[in-house]
Amino acid sequence: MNFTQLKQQALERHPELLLEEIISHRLRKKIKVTFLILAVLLLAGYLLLTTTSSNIGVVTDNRLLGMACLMIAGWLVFLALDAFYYSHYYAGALGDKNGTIISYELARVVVNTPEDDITLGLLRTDFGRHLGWRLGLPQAAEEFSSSRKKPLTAADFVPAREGMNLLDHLSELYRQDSEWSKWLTANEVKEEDLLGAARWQLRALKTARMNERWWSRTALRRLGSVGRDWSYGRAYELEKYAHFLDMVSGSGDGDFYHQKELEQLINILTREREPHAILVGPEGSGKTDVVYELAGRINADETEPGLRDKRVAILRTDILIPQMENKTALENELQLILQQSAWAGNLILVLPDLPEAAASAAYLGCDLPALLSNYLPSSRFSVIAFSDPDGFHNNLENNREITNHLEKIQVSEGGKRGIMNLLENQALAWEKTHPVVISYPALVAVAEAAERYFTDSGLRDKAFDLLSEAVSAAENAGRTLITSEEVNSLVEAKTGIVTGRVSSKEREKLQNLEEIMHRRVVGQDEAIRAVSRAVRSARAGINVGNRPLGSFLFLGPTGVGKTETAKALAEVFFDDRDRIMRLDMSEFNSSSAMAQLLGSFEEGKPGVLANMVRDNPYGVLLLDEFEKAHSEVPDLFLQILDEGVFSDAGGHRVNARNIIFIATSNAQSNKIWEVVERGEDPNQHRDEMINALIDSGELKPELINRFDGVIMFHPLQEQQVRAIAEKKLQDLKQRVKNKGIELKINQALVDYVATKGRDEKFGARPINRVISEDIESRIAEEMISGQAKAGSEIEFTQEQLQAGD
Amino acid sequence: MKTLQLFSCYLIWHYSTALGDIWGIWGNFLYFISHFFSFSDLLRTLFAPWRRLQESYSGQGFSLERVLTALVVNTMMRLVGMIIRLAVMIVGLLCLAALAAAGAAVYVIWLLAPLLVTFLLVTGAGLLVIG
Repeated sequence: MNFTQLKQQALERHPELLLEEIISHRLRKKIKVTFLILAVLLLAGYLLLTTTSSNIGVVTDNRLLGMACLMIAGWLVFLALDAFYYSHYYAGALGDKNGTIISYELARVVVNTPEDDITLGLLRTDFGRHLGWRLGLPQAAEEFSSSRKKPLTAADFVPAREGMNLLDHLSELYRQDSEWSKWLTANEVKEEDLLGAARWQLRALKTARMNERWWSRTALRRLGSVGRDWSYGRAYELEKYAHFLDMVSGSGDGDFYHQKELEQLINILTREREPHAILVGPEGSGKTDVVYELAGRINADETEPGLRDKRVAILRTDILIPQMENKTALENELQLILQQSAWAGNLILVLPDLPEAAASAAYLGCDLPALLSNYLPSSRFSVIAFSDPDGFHNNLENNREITNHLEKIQVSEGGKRGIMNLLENQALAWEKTHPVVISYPALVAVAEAAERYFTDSGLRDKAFDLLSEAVSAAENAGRTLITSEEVNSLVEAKTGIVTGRVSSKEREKLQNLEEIMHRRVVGQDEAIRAVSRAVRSARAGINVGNRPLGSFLFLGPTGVGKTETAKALAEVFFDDRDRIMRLDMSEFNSSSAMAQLLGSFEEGKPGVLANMVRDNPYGVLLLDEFEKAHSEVPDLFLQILDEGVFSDAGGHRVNARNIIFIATSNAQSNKIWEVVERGEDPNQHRDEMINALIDSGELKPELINRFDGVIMFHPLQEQQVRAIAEKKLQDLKQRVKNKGIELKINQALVDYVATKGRDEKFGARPINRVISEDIESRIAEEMISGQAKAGSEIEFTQEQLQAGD
Repeated sequence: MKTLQLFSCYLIWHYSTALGDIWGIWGNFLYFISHFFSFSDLLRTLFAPWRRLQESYSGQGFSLERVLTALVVNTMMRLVGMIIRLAVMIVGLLCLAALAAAGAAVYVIWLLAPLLVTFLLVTGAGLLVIG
C-alpha cells in the first residue's frame, strides 16, 4: 500500500471527511441556522397574512408558505447531513477494536496532507499545528520548512500497514524522514516525546468527543436514579461530620494511575467477610485519588454489582475529635456514628489519617482502634483507613485489632508514568482557566524533577506544585507557552542545581572543568580528571537517578588539596563554594555513633547527619577521616550510596540524592609517601593501596565498590608547594591592596613561605599559618608604626625574613 | 463527482447504519428510563420499610402496648414505602410508554425523510410558482 491508496482508504472509510471537503462543518452550521430562522420567519409571515387576509405586492400567503416549505426542506437536509457526519465521527471516536480500519484522526490528517511533502503537510494540518505547540515548537511547520532540503513525497513513503492509526503514522514518518527526525533531535524532541505528545493530544480529543455524546449509555447513567437508596437507612450523626462523595465523577479513564490499588480495594470491598482496608502510602501518593475514583465509578454504576448503591463518606475526624469535651462524649459519638453506619447498610466509611486520629483520640483517653475493632467484624458497612508508612509501622502494625480486620493495600508513588497521566489531565484543566499552553516536554521535566529533586513528600503533590508554579511564573511573565526550559529554570531557582539543556556558558564550564578546578587546586591532575569526568556524566543526565549525585573516596596525606577539590566541586556544581558541609568522622567513633548521626528516638534528639542533609539537601558533604568512624557507620553509608535515601531514628525518610559525598582518608599515606619517594606515580599502585586498606580493616571492600571513584592524592612536590605559596601570597596581596598598600611578591618571599610552610605530615597546610604569623603580622606592625601608609610599597628581603625567625 | 459520491454514500447510510444508530440511541433512552426509575430495585423492595425506619418489638419485659405501637408504626412505614415506590413506578412506566411511541414516530419519519423533503420541495416550488 502507498500513501495515495492510504488517502483513498481514508475517504472510503470516513465519508464524513468527503462531506467536510465539499462543505465544512462551520459553513454547514451557518446555513442550517439560516434555513431555520428563515423558515420560522416565513411561517410567521404566512400566518400573519392569512389572518389579516392581505397581500404585499406579489407576495401572497401561498408564496410565503411555499418559501417556508423550501426553507424547511433545506433545514432538514442539513440536519440529516449533520447526523451523517456525527454518525461516522463518533464511530471513529469509539474506534475499531480489531485495528483494521484507518482511525478517524489519521484519516483526517491524511486527507488534508498534500503529496509533495507529507511530513510538512502533516505539520500544517490542525493536528500538526497543535502537536507543534504540545512539543514546545509552535512554529514547527515554518521553521522546519525553512531548513527543508529533501522533502518526503507520497511516492517515497511506505505506510506501516493497513488500518494503522496516527501514532503508527507519526512513528513511520520519524523513521523514514531522517531530515525530520534530525530536526526534532536538534530541537531536543526525542521519538518518545513526539509520540507521548501525540498520544496526549489524541486522548484529549477523544475525551472531548466522548463528553459531547450526552446520549451515550454511560453519560445517561451518570444522571443517576431515583428510589434506589430508599431501602437504605440514613446515618444522621455521620452526616454532621462527613463529606459524602455522591456527586464525584471518575476519571472516565480506564488507565487510572492507581488501577492496581483500586482493583485490590474493590476486591476487598466486595467480599462477604470484613470488607475493610487500610491504604498505606506516603503523603501525597494518591490515597485520596483512589477513593475518589472508586466513588466516581460507583456513582456512574461502573463497578462490580456488589458495590451498587454504595455511598462513600469521608469522616472528618479532625473536626469531630476536637469538638468533644471528654472521653465519654467522644466514645458515645463515635459509637453512634458506627452504629448508624452499620444500620444504613450502604456506607463505605473513609478514615483519613488513622494514626493521627488515633493519637488525637488517645489525648482524650479514648482507644480509637479498639472502639473501631468492635464494629469491624460486621460486613454491613465498610471502612477504608489511610495511613502513611511511618505511622503504620510505629502505631498500627503491631495492633492486632487493626491488622486482623483491615487488609493492607500498599499505595506506591505511581512512578513517572502514572504521574504523567495525572499531569496531562491537570495541564488540560489548567489550560482552560489560564491563558497558557503547557508542552509535553515541560510535563516530562516536571515529572522527572519531582521524582529526582523533591522526594521529601509525595511525588504527585510535588509534581502538581511544580506545574502550578510554572503556570503562575509563565502568566506573570506574559508567556503563553510553557516549555521544559521554563520548568528546568524553576527547578534551578528552587534547588540551585542546574538541570535541563546545557547552556553555552555552562557547556564552556563543563568542557574546561579541569582548568577551572585547577584555579583552586594545585597539581593532583589525575584526581581532578576523575572528578571532572563524574561531574560531566552527572550533568549530562546519564547518572543513575536513585543514587546520590556523586560519591568519591579521596585518599592521600593531609594538606594536599582534598578539601580544596571538594570546595572547587561545590563551586562548579552548585555555583556556590559555600554549599559544602563537613563532618569530622573521627568524632563518630563510639558505640553511640549511629544515634549521633541519625538521632535518638528515646531521647527525642535529632541526628547530625539527618539534620544536615535535611537542611541542605543540595550540596557537597565532606566526610573527613572516614576510616576513623565506628564500625557501624560504613554500613549506613552503604545504604546511602546505594539508594540515596536513609531513615532517621523517627523512621522519617531523608533524601540524599542531591548530595555529592566525599569521604576522605589519610590511611595508607605512608605507603603513598614510599611510592612517591621511589619516584613512582601512586595511581599506578592504586589497587595495591586499596587492598592494603581492606587488609588493614580500615575500610570494607563493599563500601569501596559503592563509590563512583576512589581518587588518589599525591604528596605535594616542592614546586607544587611553591605554587600554592604563591597563590596564597597573591590572595594576601589583594587583601593588603584594599588598604592602599602594595605588597611586592619576590623570590625570597615565595621561597620563605614554601620552605617554612611545607610539612611532611601536614602537606601544604602550614602555609596559611606561616603567612598569617610571619607575613601578615609584619605588615600589620609596619602599618601601625606608620612605616607603611596608603600608597606605599612593602617588600621583604631574605635577610629581613630570616631575621624574624 | 465528489458530490455524487457523497450522495450515494449518504443514501446507503440513511437506510443502513443510520437505522442501527437510531435503534441504538432509542435503546439508550429506554435503558436510561428503566435505570432512572430503577424498576427492578423498586419492585424488589416494594414492601421494605421507608428508609429502614422501624420500631423495635423487643425491650425490657413484655409490653402489649409496645408491640402494638411497633406493629402499627412498622406497617405504616412499609405502607408509605410501598405507596411512594408504586407512584414512582407508574410515572416511570408512563415515561417508558411515551418514549416507545416517540421512538416509533422518529423511525417512521426517518424512513420517509427523503420523501418528505421531496414533497416539501415540490410543494414549496409549486406554491411559489402558482402564487
